[in-house]
Amino acid sequence: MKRQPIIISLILILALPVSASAQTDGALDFVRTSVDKVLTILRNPAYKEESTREVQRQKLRILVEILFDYDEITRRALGRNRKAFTPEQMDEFSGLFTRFLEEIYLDRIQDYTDEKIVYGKATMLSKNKAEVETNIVTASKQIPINYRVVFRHEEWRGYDVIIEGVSLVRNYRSQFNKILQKKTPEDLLQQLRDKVNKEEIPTD
Amino acid sequence: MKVNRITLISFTLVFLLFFAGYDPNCPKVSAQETSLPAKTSEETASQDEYDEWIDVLEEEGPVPYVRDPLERFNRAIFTFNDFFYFKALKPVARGYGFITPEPVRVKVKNFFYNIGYPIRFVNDILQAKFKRAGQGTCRFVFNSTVGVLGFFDPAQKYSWLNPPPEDTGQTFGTWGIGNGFYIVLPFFGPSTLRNSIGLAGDCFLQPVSYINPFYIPLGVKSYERVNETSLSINKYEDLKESALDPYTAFKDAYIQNREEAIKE
Repeated sequence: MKRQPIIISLILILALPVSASAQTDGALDFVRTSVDKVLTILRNPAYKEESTREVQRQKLRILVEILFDYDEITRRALGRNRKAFTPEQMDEFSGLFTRFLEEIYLDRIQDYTDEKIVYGKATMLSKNKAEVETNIVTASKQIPINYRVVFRHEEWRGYDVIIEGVSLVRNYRSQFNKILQKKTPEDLLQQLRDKVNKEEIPTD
Repeated sequence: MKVNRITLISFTLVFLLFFAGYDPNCPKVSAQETSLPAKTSEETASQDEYDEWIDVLEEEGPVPYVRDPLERFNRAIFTFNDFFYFKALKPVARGYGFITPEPVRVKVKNFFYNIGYPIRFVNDILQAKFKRAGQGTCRFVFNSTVGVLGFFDPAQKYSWLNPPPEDTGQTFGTWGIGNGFYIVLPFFGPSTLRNSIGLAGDCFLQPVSYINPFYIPLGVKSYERVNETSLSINKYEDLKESALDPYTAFKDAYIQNREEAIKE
């Protein structure tokens, strides 16, 4: 009788770290395989020519869409401001913001030269969310980039990127809060439309 | 010159004491702020929103809210700095980068980081991070000798020799002094009241600042800035381009970045 609590606690102690580490391994694997796939395309010498840039971009876009859950990012970036949007406005916003983020992300990674990426550890933030640390190492500096991922419907998806301690989602949320203090959702939509259209002209 | 410095110190101290008691950014206040949506969500019964509030609490912690009473003034300085960056700093850094090979610029950067050792050491001590003070000292000795006056960075290979750098602004932060309010400094960029005073503190801890006449440290600091910019060209442009309200984007990025540095 006396042994029972000890055995139970032993089982608990042994079981807990195992399940946690299995989950963090999953998160780390997800980020590593996604980023490695992106790197393979970036490093492929076939895309070194300026003319093949658009083809490369298209390939990257597919991978990036798997890496990030844009709906979740949009939801978080808007936060409570969602209430001010009509469903139609919300749909348009979602589409525009997704395209906007995608183009920016692709612009950045296509400028990639031979930086090395070092994978750090993954930590659980809650029961289905984890943060995976990575470091971009160049000759002159190290840039810490952490990916926040969520496990839902049996798969991991990214919902935030933290560059040098700055959360992308939080940064956009503060901007949306600021803009919507004085302006209407329609104004914000117009601003986003202008941005997205401007982004797309040079790439066409 | 000496009298000047003493008056400056006492001025900053008085300033600091005045605002230490007046802190709109203490964790208690921001905790209350984040708990507000929970109350309203009980009324609107929005499960979605409740989830989100939990998410925010779980992962992001209390969001530091920094007031910006000087916003109009700050925006003007922000515009000025933007102009200064594109019309002066960037072209100069570009030209300098063109005639100076990157490995040389990296060595210059290493050298400046190495001589900033007193700032890090004193602030490690003030934050009672004695282990880091020791590590930083080892790094300084190692890089100053084996690394030839700090131009090379042989310590880079050993992670224990690279503790995160501490400065005076961070020390104030760990002491529980709030940000005060947001300030955009001409040439220096985003800051807060607390961190501006910290910047002055760092200046006192930097041996270069004590060289006479005054234009020598000024020239050295400017050169350091040009060198730094030449190594991170486009960083400013990238953030600006990806923003819908650049002023707010830079403000938030600065606050988040500093908050992270204090936690480290």
